Amino acid sequence: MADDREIERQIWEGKVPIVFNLAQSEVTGDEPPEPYYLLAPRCSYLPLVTTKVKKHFQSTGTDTEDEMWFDYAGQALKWHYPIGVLFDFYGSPSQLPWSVTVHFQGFPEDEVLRCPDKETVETHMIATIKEADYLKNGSTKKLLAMLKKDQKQLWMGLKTFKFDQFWSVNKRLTQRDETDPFKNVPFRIYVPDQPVLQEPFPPFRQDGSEYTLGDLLATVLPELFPAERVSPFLVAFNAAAAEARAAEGGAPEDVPVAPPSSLGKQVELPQIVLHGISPAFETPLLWLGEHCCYPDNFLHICILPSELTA
Amino acid sequence: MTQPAPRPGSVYLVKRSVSVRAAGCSRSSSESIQAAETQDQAQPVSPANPGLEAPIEDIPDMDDVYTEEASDPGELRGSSNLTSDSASFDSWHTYEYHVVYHKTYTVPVLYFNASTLEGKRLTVDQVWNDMHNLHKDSIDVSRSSFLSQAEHPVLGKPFFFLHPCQTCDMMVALFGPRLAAHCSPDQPLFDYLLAFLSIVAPIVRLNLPLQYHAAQSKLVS
Repeated sequence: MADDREIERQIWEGKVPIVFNLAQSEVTGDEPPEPYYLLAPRCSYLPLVTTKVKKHFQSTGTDTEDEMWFDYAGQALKWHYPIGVLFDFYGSPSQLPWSVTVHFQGFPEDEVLRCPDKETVETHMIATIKEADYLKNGSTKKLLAMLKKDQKQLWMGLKTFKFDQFWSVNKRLTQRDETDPFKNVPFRIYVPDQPVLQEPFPPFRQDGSEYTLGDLLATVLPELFPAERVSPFLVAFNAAAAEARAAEGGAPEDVPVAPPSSLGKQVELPQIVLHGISPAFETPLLWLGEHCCYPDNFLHICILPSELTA
Repeated sequence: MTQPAPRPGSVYLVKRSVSVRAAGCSRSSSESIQAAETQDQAQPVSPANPGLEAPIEDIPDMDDVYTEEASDPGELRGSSNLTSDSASFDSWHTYEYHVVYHKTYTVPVLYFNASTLEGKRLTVDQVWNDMHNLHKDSIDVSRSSFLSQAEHPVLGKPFFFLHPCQTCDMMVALFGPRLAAHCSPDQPLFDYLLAFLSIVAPIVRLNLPLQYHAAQSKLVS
């Protein structure tokens, strides 16, 4: 267990090197201002770590009347996703530092939430933790029972990015009671050109064994992750269900047969990226939920085109 | 994470646009009530529109335009400080409302956006100013735990929404033991939605006339 706690610390300490450049169209002088380099915590949010970025560009005479926002290669970055998710989804570990463009004009209201102050981030984070609490416990009692002081500590721990301060409170939300296990594992899955995937998904099968990451992906993204490739359990489960129906006298043609996957065995499966690494399909979902969540208590899993086709 | 199309499983229940005049005492509302659903939703929202995606045709009897006078100009106070250069349009705000099924809390959620007639999106402060004081006074949580901006779960765009974590309690209080029946796939859901809307809609200036409720009840029965 001590080792597992070490995982939480390592995830917390993950960082992304970012270089911030002012958008070409917003350069006022003859020369663009110097870029600003930052080692940003993966688990934090852009508005929490870019105060100095704003000051830097202000000091170079840039007009910073409007709210600051960022893009990467023309893609506006949503501040309410953790920095690690933004990098895993849009960036590439082969191109470091991550080159992010800074804007102080033309805020993309149709894509990015307004973030006038850090309290907005606090509201967002607490609301997301509350949602995770609801998924895990079927109510938001754990968070609501928490003293205002502790909620504040949770937020301050993230804002000032102090592991001990944050986790001394957060462990109460993530701890699993043996007699009262998680009802669902909170996750959000990011797939290019799709809305964010999120739904209740339990950690245990009916027989008490644990669902794996492969089971989850084969369930929510069957076209991308065919069960026969990632979820031996689902294949066996479906076969057993079909057999049971046949035994009950159902005509065999009524049994839905999974169409042969259009993805042949040779085709690479999409990449799964969580905190910059690719977890194995056999990883128990509950273990991921207990140890690999972002501070908002959700697993944020990015699905990317396979390396071969990318 | 770009602009996605609605996918199966993300359920759109109701969509509607309304213009309100924020600083004056009259309001006109050009209605276009649309119901839509995605393919794996068991119950059609409107029997006239089964199994379709995206906004579709108007519900019969509800495509007329109506105008009404607010009885008490005072109830709109607090919103006259909305500023704009254009004197004739500065006080008009356009609201667009969506009811979306929330997969975590398993309840409907009212998402909405508001903009000036020039297309400038309102801030959360401006939306708050547009709300009736009656409702603001009765909220026993902080403003940010009641109303805030979030990503629309289907469109992926910023929308305002009323927080859903107490909706279930509210509906149970309203329906009591009957709630289970209203949630069953064999039962029409629309009177559940009407009850939900009858409580949350007035908070954000979505005034559904009585005829709307009557027409929907008829469709259900």
